[in-house]
Amino acid sequence: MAPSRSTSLESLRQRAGSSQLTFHIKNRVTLIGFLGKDAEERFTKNEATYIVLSIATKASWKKDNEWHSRTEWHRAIIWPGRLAEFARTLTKGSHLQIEGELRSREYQKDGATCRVWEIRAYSILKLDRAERQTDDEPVPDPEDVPF
Amino acid sequence: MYLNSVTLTGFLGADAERRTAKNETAYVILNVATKTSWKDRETGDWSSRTDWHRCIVFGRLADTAATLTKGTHVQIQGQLRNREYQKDDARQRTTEIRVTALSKLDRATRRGTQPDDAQADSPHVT
Repeated sequence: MAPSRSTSLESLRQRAGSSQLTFHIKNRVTLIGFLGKDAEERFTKNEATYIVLSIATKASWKKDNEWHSRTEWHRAIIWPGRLAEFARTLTKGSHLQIEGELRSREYQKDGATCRVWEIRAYSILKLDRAERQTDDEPVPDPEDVPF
Repeated sequence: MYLNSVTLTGFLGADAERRTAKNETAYVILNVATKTSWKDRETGDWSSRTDWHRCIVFGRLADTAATLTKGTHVQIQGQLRNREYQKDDARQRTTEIRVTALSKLDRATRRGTQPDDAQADSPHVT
């Protein structure tokens, strides 16, 4: 293995904030939605802080002249680092764009194995809410958080 | 204001599974594997992990999806959806991908890309 090549790969990865440099494989999730509650701090085994965000996206459609909607809750994980430093300041109701990688893992709960899907975020954008000044468009209230 | 979008490029871990919902809608399940690899900072070794994604295809797209076989290289676009179900008296949650677009990525070594009958009968296609 040529060391120079792997070094440049490594630095590219760090710049991209992602471990995905394989060309024939991609795993990318993009979400735009609202935070259902303040950012939660958690600790790894090494006592580094990681952040858990709970993000709501909503889909609406019209059927038989009536509007229906469905809210989806997503769990995003921000691993220790500069992004986590930023993410910890986010509060309930923030409008965000998040990019990350979809991952699943298993854990034990009451003797049963449960599987949970998470988004390992590598980019977070805080979206401005200019419409708030006009009050024309009601901002949906992210009340019912399942977690 | 909202966006819920997933793009996956990976390989099918099993042949496409045809299912029928309670309301008799046909759908197809695709099991897509994505892999990431990274280099361990201390040891310098490469490690990798594979994630399996359960993708649900409805509608006209399901007809195309049903023909896909294990090992096919695919690109999928869709939305994340959570669902609850009962298993052994316990409530389980799962996350699936509702597919909105699907494309088969050609591999150079693969034959049968032309709709010619002779090609389609080739034993390599099975």
